[in-house]
Amino acid sequence: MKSQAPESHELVQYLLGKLPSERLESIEQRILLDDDFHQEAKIAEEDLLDDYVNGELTLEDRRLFETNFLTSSLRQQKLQFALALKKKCATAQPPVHFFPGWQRSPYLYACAALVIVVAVLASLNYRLARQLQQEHLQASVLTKELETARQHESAAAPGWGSQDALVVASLQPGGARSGGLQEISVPSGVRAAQFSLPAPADLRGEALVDLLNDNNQVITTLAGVYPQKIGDKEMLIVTFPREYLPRGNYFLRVRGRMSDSIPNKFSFKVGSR
Amino acid sequence: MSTTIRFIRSNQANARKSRDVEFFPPAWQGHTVQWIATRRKTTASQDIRQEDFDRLLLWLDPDRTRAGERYERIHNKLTTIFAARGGAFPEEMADDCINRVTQKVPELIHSYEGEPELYFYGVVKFILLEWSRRPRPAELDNMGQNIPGVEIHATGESVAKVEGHFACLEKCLGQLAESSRELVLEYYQQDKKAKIDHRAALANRLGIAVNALRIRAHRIRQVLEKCVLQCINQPAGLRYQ
Repeated sequence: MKSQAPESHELVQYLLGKLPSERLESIEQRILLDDDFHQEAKIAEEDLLDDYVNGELTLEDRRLFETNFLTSSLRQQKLQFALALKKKCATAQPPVHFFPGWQRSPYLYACAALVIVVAVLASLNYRLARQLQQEHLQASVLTKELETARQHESAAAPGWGSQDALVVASLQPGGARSGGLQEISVPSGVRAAQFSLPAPADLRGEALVDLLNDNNQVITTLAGVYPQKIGDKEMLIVTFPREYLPRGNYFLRVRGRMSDSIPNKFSFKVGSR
Repeated sequence: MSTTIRFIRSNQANARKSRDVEFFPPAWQGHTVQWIATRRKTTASQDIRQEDFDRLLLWLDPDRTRAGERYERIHNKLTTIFAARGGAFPEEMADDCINRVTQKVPELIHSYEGEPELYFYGVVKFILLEWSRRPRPAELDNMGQNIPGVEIHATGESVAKVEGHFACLEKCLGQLAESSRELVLEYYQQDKKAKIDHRAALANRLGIAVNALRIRAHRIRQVLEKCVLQCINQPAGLRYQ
């Protein structure tokens, strides 16, 4: 016999007729008074029949089963039934459960719903990750293209490539307010100097900006300069390559292309490098 | 209600009589007939009337429906006890016990205190004592040798009986709800150790405890067994209709 709970073991002993007589009365009274215990006795009876037809009883229990248990036609019938049930179970195909027991348990409904939600989230996550990866790739390509463009630009116009290659100076008409020339420094590595000049009040349209040396000789002239609104002022922005600005004193002369007004002059000094 | 209960009892008794004679080996059948004759003589002398039976039900419970259910439970329990004590005719012995108590109810209803089941138990012990003193045929000393066990497969007659049960079982399984049919066939499918694991897995799949599964399978088996017994006791021509 297989291992059993003590109560069940005692019921089997009772059914096989090997329970000590002093225990008989209490078992039988309990069968009469306790419906659940009677049910246990009936289940033990069925288990005993099944164990017998399956050949799972010990020799001693088998002998007791045949002499003490099978004493009534009722139990003969039960034995025939157990044999038929065994035969039926042996030939029956077990049912296939794709979602086993899900009709019976709300927890399994919840599990199925959870699986679906997780699958949807995983799919969404995969799509977003893929999209992000593509955008990273695109950004990387654009960065490379930008770098290449910068290199090309740098190669095409040396000295004008980047902001840090400029010296920026803001000049006032005549010179510095302190009376002397405004001095700017053009360190090595700087490719150009950019000047911000207030546009003359009477300037209309395009301006011409002359760079003059100390001897009032024109070094170069920038054309196509137009005033730009910076804050509330009209300003002219001009840039000269450093080659035009060795140490010395200089003037910037601003005149309108289309007018005969008096040109404005801005003086400055390029100091030590 | 009383008419229904009487009808059920009478029907059950008739079914049992035919089954007793059919299922007992030849050595037993003389004894069977002798005992049934004795029992009928006893019950005839007891002659239970409808009013006695109504009084018994009233003693069991003032509510007639609950009384009927309690009566059925007591009968089943008495049958279990008589069968466990080796009684050859446990159902008839249970009937006899109930008849004897029924006759005592006019006295008991005023004087007895306690659960009626315990009074029944007193009568059970008395009947068992009578049964043990009754002379038995000599063949009964070798009872075990004559009882058909697993070896019944060997004889043509017993094979036919199992086949009859099998055909009735098929018919009765067809009358069960699909979920009950699947459960009972799966529950009783495996042998030995595999059975324990298989049942635990089945309980897990159904989302119930193993003990709850055990009880559910037992209840379906009882329905099935009752159906098969009714089927097998019908004339062969009517069995599978």
